[in-house]
Amino acid sequence: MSTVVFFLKQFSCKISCGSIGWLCVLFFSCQNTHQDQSAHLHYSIYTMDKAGVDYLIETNVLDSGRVDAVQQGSKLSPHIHRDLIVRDGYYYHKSKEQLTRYQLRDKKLTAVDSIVLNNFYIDNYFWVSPDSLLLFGFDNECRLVKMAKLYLPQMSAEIDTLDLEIPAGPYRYTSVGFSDVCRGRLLLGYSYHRGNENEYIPSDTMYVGVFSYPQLKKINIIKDTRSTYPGSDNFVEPASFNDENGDFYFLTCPGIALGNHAQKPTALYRIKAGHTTLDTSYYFDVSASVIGNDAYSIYYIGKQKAIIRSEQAHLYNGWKNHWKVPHFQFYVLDLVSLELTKLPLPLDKGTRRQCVLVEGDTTYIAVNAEEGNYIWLYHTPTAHLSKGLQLDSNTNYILRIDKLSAH
Amino acid sequence: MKVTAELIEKYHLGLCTEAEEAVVEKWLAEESISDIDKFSLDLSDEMKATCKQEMWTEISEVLSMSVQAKNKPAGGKYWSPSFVRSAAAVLALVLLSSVAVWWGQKNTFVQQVAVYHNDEKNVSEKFQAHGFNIELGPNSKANINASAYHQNGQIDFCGIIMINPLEDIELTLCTECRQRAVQREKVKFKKGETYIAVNYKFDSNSELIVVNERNIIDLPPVLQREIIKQFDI
Repeated sequence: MSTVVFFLKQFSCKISCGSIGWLCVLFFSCQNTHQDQSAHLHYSIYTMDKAGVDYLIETNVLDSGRVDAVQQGSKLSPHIHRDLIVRDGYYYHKSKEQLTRYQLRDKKLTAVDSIVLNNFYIDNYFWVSPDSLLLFGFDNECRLVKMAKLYLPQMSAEIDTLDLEIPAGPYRYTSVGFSDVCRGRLLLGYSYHRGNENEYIPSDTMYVGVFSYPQLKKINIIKDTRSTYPGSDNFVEPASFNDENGDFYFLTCPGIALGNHAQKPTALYRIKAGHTTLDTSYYFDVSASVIGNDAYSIYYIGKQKAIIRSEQAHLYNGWKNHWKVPHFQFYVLDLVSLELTKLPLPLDKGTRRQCVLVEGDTTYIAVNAEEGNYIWLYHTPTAHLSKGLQLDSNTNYILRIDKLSAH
Repeated sequence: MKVTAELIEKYHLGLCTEAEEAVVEKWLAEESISDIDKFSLDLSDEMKATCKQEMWTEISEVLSMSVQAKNKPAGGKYWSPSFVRSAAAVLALVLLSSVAVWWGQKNTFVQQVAVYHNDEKNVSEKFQAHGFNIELGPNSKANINASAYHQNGQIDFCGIIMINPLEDIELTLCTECRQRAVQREKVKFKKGETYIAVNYKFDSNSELIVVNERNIIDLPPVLQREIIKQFDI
């Protein structure tokens, strides 16, 4: 089945529109993004050194050796940040009302083209196909939710407004935490926030809008009060995924670094493939588990297993050192039994970052530890963990590891 | 009678009594400026000597010009002694004022606390303070005591504030909002950088957060977005 899907995916890349192309695109988008058949992919590593300077390194090797950001990487200008989309050799960076596409050429990140989206604050993205990118965001008041459908070869866009309740009263701002298109169904996780006197706390309820795609007709609004703030800022790190069956899982993240709602737990929910309501039989309270803390990201690694990266509240003191102190841990979660296994990795630092990359049976995990910054390799079938690529001693953080895809 | 800035000015305007004139002219001829006590200057002996030398150089030039003028052949410009004395007094006043302003910028110089507030609901507002520029977010306010430049200057604020230091400077930031615990932090600001400070509320606690504009991405997304919106970054 996966071979057929892969063939169809390649076929769809050759045509920008067409019923056959869209059909296989829709099917592909329900698949796990970790299934990649190429054995010669290039990788991208985004780092920050001890002086706060960012670098981008492109490499073919993550499982061994040592890399020096200054010697082998490209120094980035201060206006580039790690909230990037990385795909097919390109880097997409969002700034106010604009998405710019870059490529690394002669060790310099060069803007290739861009698109301006007026009155559109970009908050979330989803790849419908290799040539079509959905962006979700708001008007400048952060209340009206919009969707921009980008056609990348031309960098053109169609913008629609989604039929969601416009917030009023004290919780007068909206934020989008995840978006997912699968089998003609769009799922949009969102919250309403306060915006008074520096209070940005979300309401007690998490929301998921269910729409038909591409018609954008509202089908259902899911509400749940067991947790709040569904999803994350997926330009920085993901908090949702589809498994091989097309079932959709998402974290709610009310921890200090995201939702900031002290009374609600981090939790894992599921919406089964083709359904428009929550799977009521599935709810995992991460904060009440052996993890005992909040988490901000989850990565599917295949075979009904996922990795959760969670904080340790007793090791940091407020937001000011949340990102400086190594306190994060990695757990493998069995999605069926809900059994957790802590990975014997050193404590990791860096509040939110894209630090897990899955390729077949191998999961690469970037860890910023006291002893140094390494890419670790986790072999899913055997649960074997080993050290891989080492970053130079002047690297302070590995902020992203991405698959650049075949050139 | 002590020589003060007011007395020198009075001398320049020709409003002194004979006794006052005598005091000023004696002072102009003296080698010491230790009698100047109008200004709250804490000048070292070295600084006083520098001030004195600069003033006297200027005044001497004026006086030597007046002597040359007096010796000019008939028909040339003649500078009367009273004019020369008046000019010297003005020069002394200007020099003293300049030294006082320059010195006040560098060392202890008492200033009143400056109060800034932005009552706009949707728009930020820019202000110039002493040694740095600030921009207040909507419904934000700040009391700034910039005394002891480079030393214990303090900004008390509530809301969101953007700070652009014009030089390397160390300031104490203090959050002063109703119904919240006071938070205080000493921060080193680098010239040319831009910083955002906000009192971020967590449940019943709040935390003073100071971040370089380049690191806004590290903030919680909703706060990040609010800062971008308020300051049009």
